[in-house]
Amino acid sequence: MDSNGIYNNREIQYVAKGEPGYPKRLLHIPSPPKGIYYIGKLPREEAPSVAMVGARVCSEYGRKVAKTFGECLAKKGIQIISGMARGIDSIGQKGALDAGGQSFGVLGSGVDICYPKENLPLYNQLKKKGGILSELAPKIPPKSQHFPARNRIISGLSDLVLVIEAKEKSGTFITVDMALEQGKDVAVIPGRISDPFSKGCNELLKQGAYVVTSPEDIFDILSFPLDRKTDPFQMKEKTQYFLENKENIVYSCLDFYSKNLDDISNEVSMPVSEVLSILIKLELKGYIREIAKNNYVVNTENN
Amino acid sequence: MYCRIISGAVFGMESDTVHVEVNISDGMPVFEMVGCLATEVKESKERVRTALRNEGIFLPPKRITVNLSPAYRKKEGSAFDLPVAVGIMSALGKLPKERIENTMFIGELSLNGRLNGIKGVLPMVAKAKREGISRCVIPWENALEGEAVKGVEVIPVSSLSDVVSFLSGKEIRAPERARKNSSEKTKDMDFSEVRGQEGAKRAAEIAASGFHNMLMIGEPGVGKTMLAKRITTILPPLSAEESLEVSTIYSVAGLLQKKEGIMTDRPFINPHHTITEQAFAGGGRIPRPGVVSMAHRGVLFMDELLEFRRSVLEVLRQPLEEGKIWVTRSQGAYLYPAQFIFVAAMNPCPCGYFPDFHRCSCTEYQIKTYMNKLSAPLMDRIDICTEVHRTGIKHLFSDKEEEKGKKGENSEKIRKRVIRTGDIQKERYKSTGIHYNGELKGEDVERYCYLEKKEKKFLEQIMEKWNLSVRAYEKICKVARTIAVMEESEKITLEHIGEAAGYRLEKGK
Repeated sequence: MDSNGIYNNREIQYVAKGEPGYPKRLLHIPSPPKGIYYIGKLPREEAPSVAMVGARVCSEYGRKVAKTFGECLAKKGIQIISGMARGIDSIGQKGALDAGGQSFGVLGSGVDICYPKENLPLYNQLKKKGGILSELAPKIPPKSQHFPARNRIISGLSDLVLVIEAKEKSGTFITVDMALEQGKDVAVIPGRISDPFSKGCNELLKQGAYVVTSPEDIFDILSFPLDRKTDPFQMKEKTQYFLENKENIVYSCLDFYSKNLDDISNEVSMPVSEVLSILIKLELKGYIREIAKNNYVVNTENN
Repeated sequence: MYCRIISGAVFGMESDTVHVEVNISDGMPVFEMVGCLATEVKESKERVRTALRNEGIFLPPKRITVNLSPAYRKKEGSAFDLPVAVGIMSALGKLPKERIENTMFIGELSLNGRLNGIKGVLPMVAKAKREGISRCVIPWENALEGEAVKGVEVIPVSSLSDVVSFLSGKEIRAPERARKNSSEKTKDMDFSEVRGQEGAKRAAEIAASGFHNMLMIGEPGVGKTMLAKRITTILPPLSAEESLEVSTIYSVAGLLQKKEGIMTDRPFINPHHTITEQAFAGGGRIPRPGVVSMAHRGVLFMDELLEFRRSVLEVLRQPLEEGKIWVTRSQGAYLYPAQFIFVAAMNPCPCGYFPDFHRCSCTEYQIKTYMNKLSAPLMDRIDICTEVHRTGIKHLFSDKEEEKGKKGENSEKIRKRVIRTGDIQKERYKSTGIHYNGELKGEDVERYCYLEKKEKKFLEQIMEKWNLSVRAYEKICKVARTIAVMEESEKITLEHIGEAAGYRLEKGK
């Protein structure tokens, strides 16, 4: 089963179960993969690793949380394992890499296939700074039946599974079930009870998952030495932005949840024409983002 | 015994005079019609024979030859019954010649001698006027249509015996007719009925003011169609010239008689998304005006834009660019006018509820694929894009007026402003052939939408931020120009550009 040469791709390496270098964490899970193809590195055995999972379609709030947790955990030397999927997965991984940490993507296809395609920049970064892993041979295309099996490797490679956002029905639950089966800890970010993106999260909390409200909570669960508590979510005071008065008024009525032009106009009591031109200015300055036509949210990249 | 009668026919949008020649001579008793005739024209001889008999005129056992000239053009329609009948009577010497000369006859005959309405009376009478013909005898049903042309005597008749009386110089007994005054027409739609939706209403007013094309994005059932229908109520009324143009199209299509004379309101056309290219552009062996021409000088509204066939959407290119459409058939090429405000509506995603995550279950990828169905050439021609969203039940049906959404102004008030902006634009574009900002193209944009340094820099920033094309730049300029005109400002300010940029249409938005 040596892949070198056969696939004409010198990047791809293979380690079979039982060979040295095969991730030890996988030896302890039910039905471990027979071998792992990988590009880049494999997760280190001695470093703690956390799987970040969540919805592909996520809220602006979810983006913010995933990014911050990715950064904070990676800075502490925690490896982020995820599936490189759209949404939470890729945002968390990107956060970890940007903070100079390590991240590993486990694919539901051959390691030489980037899926989804728009994550190509992330894929290339992972190859250099972390690793791309799969139990499937190169050139196997992504298919829906591969993903549940892939999820067992994600949870298998990590010490803790962190769920950021999950709707009532979500593929995330497959990973969570696998994690529980494998005896891993499951930690969840709580959400508002009315928020569709947090329905699944809150359900998991009811069933007894760890509540996580800051990265320190994760260090706690993983028995990491703690230093002083910081709050990475503290938003900058809005007046710090030196915005014009009217821009400030419009900006302060925006949120992580999208608002449409009419609602903003009603809230700030200005005509739509004026509000629209202020919104454009705010968007130009990068404080807000238009997620759908005339629907605006606070831009998380900037906070 | 030879006789020549003037009649008319419509070829596409153009009408032309047709001469009906009748000759009655000795020989085998036959009734023959020649001159490149369609079936319905050939059948005319049975209708004429019977109608004449019921008028008490028997065809003599002689050789009757009827020729319609020019012979090379295919003649269609039922307008030739009357001229053929008059020609035969005249050739038989039963009618005084002097009133036949310089008179156009058009009309379809019933077997009992009554006259039925026909298509295309308006362009035919207009052609008669241009040709210097002094009288037109037309069917009673088309009276209002024919009388819309000034400078030519129009004689509406209801039967063949009326024609005989008229030609012999007798008074025609006119049946009662109820002429509907256009101002009495009850306007059953008004802009004030739209509650809330301030953003979309503002966009609609800008669109109407500058004749910009507009796209509304919103979930199903929130009022996109309602809003689109009301755009015609805020557009300036049709000028006399425009009214004739529109009426001509409807006359050719045979839709005018139902509409009581001439068109005074701007048309609102709302085709179903299963429409074919032929119905859309105009079609048939000898083409009829299509939906794009029926919307001439009015609003063409396409609901569920992305559900239309791709080929149909591509047909839109020419009318949106040039304001007219060429339809080419084996018979020849026909040019139809098609200058309208294009208003479209679509859902934001396949399920229709994005960005309401409580209800939308579409993935980012699905939304992207959905929006990608909008072809770039079509997007390029839409100046204004806006969102229409759900208004709470409370806002619509509350007992307390203050809880309801803003009622807004009525159509009359908005229309006054739109007319004012239209006048300013007319003054600005005097003798350039341009009427409204929406028609500006390329160099015109540079010339009429001049930006000062600060404004130019701001727009450049916007271009850079969203990576906009030159076409998008022009669109923002045009819309900003309209907004400036609406505020009666000569200069385009930062606010105008900002607002215009807020209406831009982008992929994935």
